[in-house]
Formats: sequence, C-alpha cells, structure tokens
Amino acid sequence: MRRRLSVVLPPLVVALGALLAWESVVRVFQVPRFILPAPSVIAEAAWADRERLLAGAAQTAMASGGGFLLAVAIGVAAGSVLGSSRLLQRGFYPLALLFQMVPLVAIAPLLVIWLGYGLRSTTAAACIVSVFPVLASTLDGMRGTDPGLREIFGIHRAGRVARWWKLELPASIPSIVTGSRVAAGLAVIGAVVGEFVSGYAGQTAPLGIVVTSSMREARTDLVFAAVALSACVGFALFGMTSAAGWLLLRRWHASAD
Amino acid sequence: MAPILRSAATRMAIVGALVAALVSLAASCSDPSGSQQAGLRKVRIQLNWVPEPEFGGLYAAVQDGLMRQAGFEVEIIKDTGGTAVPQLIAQGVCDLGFISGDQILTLREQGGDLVAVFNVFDITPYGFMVHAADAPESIEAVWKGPGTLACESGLPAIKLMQAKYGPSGRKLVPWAGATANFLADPTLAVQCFITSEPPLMDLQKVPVKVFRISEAGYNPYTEVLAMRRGGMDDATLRRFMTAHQEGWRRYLAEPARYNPAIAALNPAMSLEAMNLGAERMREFLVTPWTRAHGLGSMDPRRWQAMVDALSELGVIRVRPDPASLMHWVLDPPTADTVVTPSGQPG
Repeated sequence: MRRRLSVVLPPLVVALGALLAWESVVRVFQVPRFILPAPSVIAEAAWADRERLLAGAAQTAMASGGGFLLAVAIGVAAGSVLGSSRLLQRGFYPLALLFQMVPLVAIAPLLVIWLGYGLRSTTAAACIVSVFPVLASTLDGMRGTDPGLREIFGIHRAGRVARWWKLELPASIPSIVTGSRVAAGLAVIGAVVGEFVSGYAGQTAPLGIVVTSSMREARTDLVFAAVALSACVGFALFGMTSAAGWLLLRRWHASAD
Repeated sequence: MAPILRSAATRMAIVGALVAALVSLAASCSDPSGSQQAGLRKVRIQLNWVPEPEFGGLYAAVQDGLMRQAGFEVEIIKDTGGTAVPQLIAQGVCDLGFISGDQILTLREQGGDLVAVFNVFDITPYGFMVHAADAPESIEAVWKGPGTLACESGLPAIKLMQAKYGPSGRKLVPWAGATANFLADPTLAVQCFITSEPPLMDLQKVPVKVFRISEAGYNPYTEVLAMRRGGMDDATLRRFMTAHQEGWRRYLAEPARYNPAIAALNPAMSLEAMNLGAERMREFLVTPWTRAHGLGSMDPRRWQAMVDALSELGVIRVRPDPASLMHWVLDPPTADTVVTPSGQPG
C-alpha cells in the first residue's frame, strides 16, 4: 500500500499544485477566457459539452488506436526484414527514415485525395507518424541479439524463420515495447492532425474537428478540454502498451519490474 | 564561485557581453523601418485568408501610397492557415484584422471586445459550389445531398442550415481551402466565396453550379475589418478609413491595375482568376446601401439580425446592443465619390 502511494502520490500532488497555481494566476490577473481559461472554467465547459467531447474522443481513439496497431504491425515486420540483411538495411533504411521526416501537415491533404475523408485517412496519418519508432526499435533489437545465441542456432542449423521466431523476435521485444511507447503518443498527434483536414464533422466529430471549430468560436475552454481528452487517449494507448509489454516480459526480462 | 569567474577580466567580459546583448535586443525591438522618423504610424493588419481580391482595396491603398499620405506605415500579414485573427486583434498582436462579423459576437461572449470599422461585402459572397453534373436545384437540395460537403466547422452558416433544413444528408468534412479535392470527387460540394473558387473552376473549364447562402435567408457581414474598442482615436481612424475606402474605390474601378501585386503574393491563384473574381465581386460590394452610405458602411439592423440569428442558434447567450458592434466614422459619399455598379466613380 505504502509503495503504491509513493508511486501515485507525487504526480498527483504536482498536478494538483499546477492546477491550483493556474487557477490562481487566471483569477488574480483576470486573464480573459479567450486567452487562458481557468481549469474550473474548462471543467465546466467540458461537462456541459460532454456528449460531443466523448463522441469525439471515441473517434480519435479509433483512429489513433488503429493507426498505432498498424504501425506496430508494419514496423515490426519491416524492422525484421531489414534486420535480416545488411544489404536490405542499407537500401531501405533511408527510405524508412523518410517517414520520420515527412511533415504530416503537408501530406495530410494528399491522404484525403488518396484515401478519402474520414477514418481511413486519419488512421493512415496516425500510422505514418508512429511507424518509424517501432521500425527503428525492432531493427535495434534484431541487431542486438546475443551473438553467442546466434552461433548456437547456427550450429543447430536453424532455418531463417525459426531463428527469427525463436531468437531474434523475442530478443527484440524489450526494445519494441520501448519504441511502441513512443509511437503511442505520436499516433494520437498524427490522428488529430489528420482530423484537421479529413475528419468528419457533425455530431460525432473527432477531437481535431472540435479543436478547429472551437477555435473559430473563440472557445478556448473547449479547445483545452479537447486537448486534455486527446492526451487521455494518448495516456490510455501508452498504458495499454506498457501493460502488454509487462505481460510479455514479466517472466524473463528485468525491464518488466 | 566557478574558477572561470574568479578573474576580474573574465567577469567584466561577461557583463560587457550581457550589456551588449541587451542593447542589441532593445535596438531590435524598436521600429526598424524608420517609420517613426518619417512621422508614420505603424499599423499591422492581419488577413484571415491568403492575398486575394477580397482584400483588394487595402492593397490598392498601400500600392498607391494613400496609406503613407494618411500617415500610416501598413504591414499586411497573410493568414498561414487557421490563424486565430479575432484573438490576435483582441490581444493587440495586430492593430486591425479581417474577420467574419459573427466572430465579433462570439469573442465578446468570451471576454474580448472588438468593433467592426469597415465591412467589405454588403451582400455575403459565401455559398456552396457543386459540380454542374451533380445539379441540385436549390441550396436546400445541396444541403440534403447525397455526397460530401467540405465546410469550415463552427461556421454559423452551417449551424443555420442545420436548424433550417435539418441534419445534412451529406457527410460534413473540413474545408482546407484547396480545390484539388473538389476536382477529384464529383460528389463533393464545397463552401466557397463566389468571388474566389468559382472563377478558378471556370478558368479550368470545370462546370460548376453555385448557391448563395443568402438564398437560405442568411446574409451576414462575412468580412469586416475589426479593431479593439478604442484601438485608434476617431481622428486617426477616420484618416485610415478614408484611405482604405478610397483604395476600394480605385480597386473596383480598375482591379487589373492592382491584381498583379496581389497575385505575386499568392501563387496559388492566377492573375486571370483574380481579375475574373474582382469583376464578379462588384455586385456584392456596390449596392443601393453602399451607394447611399459609402463603401464599407454597415447597417445596425443587419447586426441586429445577426445577433438574433446567433442567439436563436445558441451560439451566443448574451445579446449585445447591435450599435456597439460597429464603429463607422466616415461621412456618406458625395456625387464625386459615389461608386456606380460598374465600379466607376459616379
């Protein structure tokens, strides 16, 4: 119990202190709501618009979750293929690096033309920005496989697939989990940016659309509420990734402690 | 004390460097254009879109030196996409800015206090553009779909359509301003300024049909020049507005003279499209009202109608006095300054 408290309490105290300071500054200096609303005003606005915000969060969660899963699948597959051959790695790694460099804002309008409006485009946007950390971490894991174990697999004439499945992939899991944690946060950013240009509006508009429409109406309180909710989606993805990592690693790897 | 700071010479050097940095910072914060020396007042104006004929009068006033003659050094800042113009004006980041009339009301609801000092379009040029083959017969049919409608979310016009005709049969998606999506999808309808996107399509020989939002009974002030209340004293504002209004008179009379400079700032719209857009713009600016009261003038009854509409839609809770939303400082036009429907001085 005491150990749990020591984990939960510090961030809670810091968050509460920050919120109190924020509330006080806004009240004392009478900062207009359209510049910086107080946390209590944001909470009030979020409660009043809870249905729209929750529907939006569900849409954003679908896009970022879908994009994230795709990114993990593509990143692990591509990382494994590149990790299996120096030649392939030299040829394709710079191309993979391009995904990291691509300014999503610039290509998001193209995604709409290629994939149409809605979930397909926003999922693709989430995938594009989050695939590289998974790919790079998979590649690192593959490269870092114990040479001694590789030799043993060679002595036993293990095939390429068996070597990957039984040695390289398990050895890569700790770094894949680390890369996936980074990708989880990026996926939400990608989804929201994608929604700016391709999300469906209306009653179930995703959080990206809630942000743009609230901005137009000078509803900074709702912008903050939508941003806070998208951060919650990111925390949820991060938490699920960490939980999956713990389940996979708890029996054999120190990082699960 | 760190060993490096023990030497007096080193400490002096660091202090000297800090002072030099502060001096250069102060110098960079002062007016670099020398406009103060020339006795000109610097005015920063934020656009809510890229340079296009809808800002033609301002560019004409600058190009012809009317602003300098009136004592202003004007800096025009174009929109880089989604700029929160009302908030920037309210914060004093810019002196004036082009915004939609309804944004004065929504910002006031959130604690900002702006006033409209000039209205560009007396009749709103806002509408929906569809492919001619899609061929709906009315704006209601456009709204009911089927297909997709790209529009700016949060726009009162969209909420009004929803209130008047019920939920749209089209899927509503964001309007990014580019016409590429429209060209790629024959079922896509897009919001437009009748003076902007349709001319582009006409020049590309893409058959389109345009429906005005005013057909739905909503004719708001779509593009006003706004400032913070009291941002300029009346005498200064009057000098500025006289130059701006004269700029518009000149632009409407001879847009082709000013469009090359605007087109140079906006490579996405050809000079040809700008000339065509400017020609089509006249009927939205030169109306019986503006001929009687002057280009840019506003009618408090129109503001009242906007207050009523936004209040009914639930966009605003407090109903301000419509007269407090505008601040018009110019006199009605004389026989020499009135503009005819062809754009020529009367």
